[in-house]
Amino acid sequence: MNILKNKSLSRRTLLRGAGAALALPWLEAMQIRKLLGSEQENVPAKAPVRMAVLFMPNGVPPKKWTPEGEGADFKLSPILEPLAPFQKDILVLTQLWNKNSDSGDGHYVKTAGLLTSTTINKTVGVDLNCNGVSMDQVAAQKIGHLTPLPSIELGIEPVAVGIDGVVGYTRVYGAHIAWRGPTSPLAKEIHPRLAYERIVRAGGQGGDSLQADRSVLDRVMEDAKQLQGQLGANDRRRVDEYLQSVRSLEQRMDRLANHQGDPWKPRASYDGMTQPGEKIPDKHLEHCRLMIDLMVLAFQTDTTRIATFMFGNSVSNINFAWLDGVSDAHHSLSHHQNEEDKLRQYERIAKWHMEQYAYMLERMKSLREGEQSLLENSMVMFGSDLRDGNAHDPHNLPIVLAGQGGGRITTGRHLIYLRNTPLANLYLSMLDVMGAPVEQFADSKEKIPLQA
Amino acid sequence: MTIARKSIGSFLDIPSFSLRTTWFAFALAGSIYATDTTSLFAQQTAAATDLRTESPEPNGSPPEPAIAPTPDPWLKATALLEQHCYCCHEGEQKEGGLDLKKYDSIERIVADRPMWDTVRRRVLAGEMPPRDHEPLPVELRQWFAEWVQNVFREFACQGKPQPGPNPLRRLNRNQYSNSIRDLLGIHFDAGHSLPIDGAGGEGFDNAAETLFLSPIHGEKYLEAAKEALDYSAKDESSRRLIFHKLPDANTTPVDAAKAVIGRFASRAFRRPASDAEIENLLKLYQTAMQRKSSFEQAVYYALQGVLVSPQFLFLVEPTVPGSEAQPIDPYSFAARLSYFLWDSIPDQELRDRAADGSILKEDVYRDQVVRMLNSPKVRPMAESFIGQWLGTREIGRRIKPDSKLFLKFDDELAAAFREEPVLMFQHILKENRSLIELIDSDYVFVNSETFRFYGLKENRPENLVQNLEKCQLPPGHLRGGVITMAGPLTVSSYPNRTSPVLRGKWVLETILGAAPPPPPPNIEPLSEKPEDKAGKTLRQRLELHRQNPACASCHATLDPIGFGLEHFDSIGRYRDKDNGLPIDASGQLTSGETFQNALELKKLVLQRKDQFVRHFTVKMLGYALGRGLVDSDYCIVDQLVADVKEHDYKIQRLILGILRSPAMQLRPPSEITPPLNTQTSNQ
Repeated sequence: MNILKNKSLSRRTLLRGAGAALALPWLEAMQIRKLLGSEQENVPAKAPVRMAVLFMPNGVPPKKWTPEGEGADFKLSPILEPLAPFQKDILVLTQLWNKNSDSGDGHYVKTAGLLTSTTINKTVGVDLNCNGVSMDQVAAQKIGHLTPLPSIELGIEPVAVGIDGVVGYTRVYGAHIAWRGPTSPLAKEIHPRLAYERIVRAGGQGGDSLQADRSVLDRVMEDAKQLQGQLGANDRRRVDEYLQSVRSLEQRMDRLANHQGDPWKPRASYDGMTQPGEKIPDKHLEHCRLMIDLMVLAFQTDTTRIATFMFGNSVSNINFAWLDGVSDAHHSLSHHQNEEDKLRQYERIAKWHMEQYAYMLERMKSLREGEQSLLENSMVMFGSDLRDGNAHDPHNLPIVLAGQGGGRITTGRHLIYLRNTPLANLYLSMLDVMGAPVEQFADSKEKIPLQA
Repeated sequence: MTIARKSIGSFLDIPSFSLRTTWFAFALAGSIYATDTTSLFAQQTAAATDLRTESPEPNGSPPEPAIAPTPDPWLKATALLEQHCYCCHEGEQKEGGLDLKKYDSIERIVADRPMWDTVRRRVLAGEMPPRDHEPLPVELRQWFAEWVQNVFREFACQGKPQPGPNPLRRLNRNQYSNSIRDLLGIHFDAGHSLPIDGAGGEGFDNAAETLFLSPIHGEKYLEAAKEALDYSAKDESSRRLIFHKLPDANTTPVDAAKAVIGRFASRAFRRPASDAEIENLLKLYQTAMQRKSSFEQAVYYALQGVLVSPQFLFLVEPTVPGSEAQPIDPYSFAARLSYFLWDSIPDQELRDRAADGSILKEDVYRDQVVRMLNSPKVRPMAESFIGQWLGTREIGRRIKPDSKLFLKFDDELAAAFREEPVLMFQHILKENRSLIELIDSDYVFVNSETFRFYGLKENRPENLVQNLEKCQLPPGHLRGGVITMAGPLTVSSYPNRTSPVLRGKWVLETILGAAPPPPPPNIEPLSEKPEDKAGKTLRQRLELHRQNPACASCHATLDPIGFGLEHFDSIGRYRDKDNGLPIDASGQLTSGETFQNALELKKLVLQRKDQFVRHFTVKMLGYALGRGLVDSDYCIVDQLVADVKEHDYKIQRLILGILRSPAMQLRPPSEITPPLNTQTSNQ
């Protein structure tokens, strides 16, 4: 099939996708160039599966989350109501739990362990260890070499200052859901401009500057290897982390230089886009939407197929007083003590997050890739590490999975599992969909069937 | 006392340690190990228990007679275990496989550290004894936890002085920016696009433990290097700084390049670059020349190689062979000093003192410390240390008062809140003032806005506008010192109201280093229901909350301190009323002392100034070493506290003491650097 014959993206489509509610200056100026004609012969029909995980801190008001009904016949709950246009594109998953995060403290253990399904070490630093690899990184390690960036990690809040002396955890934990290895959390980008530049740079660099960078990096590798010889085991591990980061950059350059990678050619390129502003937007809404745009951009240009995004860090106390009917900050309100007024505000904040999720789904659904939409070729998980923020309980976590995963997921259903079904079961299935199957993931028992 | 003196004595046996006399004199200056837990060793030695095979005394002289003070901690601890723990954790039917009774000596406890870390943590958290057993009061839980900790610390203080671990540190974002600033002589934040570092160790973002590297770092360093060098190439004075030699009639381009690159690399690596390193970098220059670059361009290209080298990005120190700690070399010491006080590379003078080796002499580095503290380059450290210690760095960022309630709180006010403690700290550093001023000073730093905000009328500094200036306080004023500063008062409040609990916790944790354990799980927080709020001040509501016995024990230590600060609203403004009712700022500490207001509360904190100084010392040492403290470091802390106490709490005395300490002067053997993953956790 020749995808060029299909309707290509127009600026108008994109704007429609962006939703009338918020026309971002950056998005407005964005233009998508048509695919280069000369490369069309190699284009396979099947687009790859893309995966994003959107993390919301602080849990949800438990009574307002779960939909009524089961299977294909279900009624969205008040919080999920913004997903109404996409009811046929989502799976709501009820009664999954993350057993290994049911200890330690109320937040850090849950956040850092959300995608690893492990119990992190309690420490203010010295033995920082999540004791696993996060699900997204398991996928990245299998298929990351097919794209310029194996994965991207985005967020809103910088790592909070200090250690939490009271519960005895470094706040580093609360700022990371993506773990490449037990001791390697992945730093996330919170500045839209910098994230944009990285995405574009990763996909677009070439020619002389590539060669020049390559020579510099070769020097670094020599220095680092020479240094390794002088160090004790633990210091060597640190330098090795640096070596790996340089090596991954080199590999990316090589792939670009040799035009390796997946034969699938994305529909969109970066040309003619206006970059986001120099400053991080003051407004939380605008900041979040820019980050979502960037994930979509990275997917549609096939710069990466794996993304994680944190709406806030663990214990996030972003003040939502700018939101109608809300007068306080997120974490404060999550300790609602079953007071009506606080519950209402807490619910409003959860619903606001759902609106942003809907925004992303809308954008992805509007972008065509051959006969499918980007959403049909993707899966976008939304989740929190707690059920009720007042109880800090990782039972029955609020989890939604959107997108058809390239036809591997039958959406439009509310699936209710037996109590204490491992969340890791879902990860096992998602890794399958990503083409990165594993036998076992943390406390997983069996795959969750995603196809009806 | 006995053990401590012995341990210092054995420290003298390291023959190559050049400063031992100084350290010896210093260490004996104060009363060391005044804490009652010391006596547990005395007790053990006197009783000549089973496992002790030899006296720690290196020269075989008879141990001093042990005096057992009362109450004896070992006996107190075993009595506690007997009464609360053995019933389940003993012998055949031991719960959870744990037989506590078999730990009948210090040695046996010390030999099983992971287990005792768990015991300590679970008792402190109130998880043990379990619910259906008689609960331990919080004071006893805290005492027991401290006792276990001290067992390990005291044990680590025996034998030779230990430098502690020396994990390889990456430059953090600030240090990277400052280093590039000084290397290139540019005013440009080269680290602006690097990921933000989290904190570890003693709570600072320069802690080796948490300075991990992600795949993103490699490319960020490369881009940042290119950006900074581009900036430099366009800046005349920066170019002059880098190109101290240019090709001319007597100098070939290659020789000039070699000189420029060699000097730059030596500055960046904080030690002379080796010939092999320079040759390697020269290859980059030659590659560029082959591509028809200009001389300058080609050199700049080679400098990229310097700025992304791990020798620059990590604070690399030479290997220590063998199994014994070794004295530090002058270049490493100059770098440690420089990254401690400036968070940047050593300057020319420090490099000269390193080159001739004199930097290791105490009179030389004492002068350097004074010079460095008087330089504006001390500011990044002051900002980074104080902002992270007090938590004020986050004001206006993560910590934002509710904008609907506090219209006046804008970016400028937030900046002034962040700035005040920084300026005060810089002032104390520069003028070698007493640490105690941090708690109680007769001056504040204000701008025109905060001058009004603090209700000041007298001594207004001339031309006071936006910049903060020092201002003398009238006698008896509530302000002065960090506890009543607007910044910390804001940090320890909610966005929309004050919190005596958070403020009490802030004072205990940040000032006195004695945070209470976290609240028990699933506790009912303070009710915010309108019917519960009506007609009550926050204080009255909290007092009701404390009627719940599960909450009472901790809140009895927390709340009164916060009550004393209730005259300050959630952005630190003075107020008379809360919820329309007059403020009652009186209180009683669990120790029984009472106070009427913040001023009297501050006096009570001052009575605990040694506890404050100890905590401050822990923080400063943690910052200086760029890592969390380990057991053996607490021997150093005790000595530092004793010494600074004898010297009127002067801050430079503390800094010099840190520089003199084994942790700074010695380096552990490379191969047995304790691994990063030693302590076990969560079981």
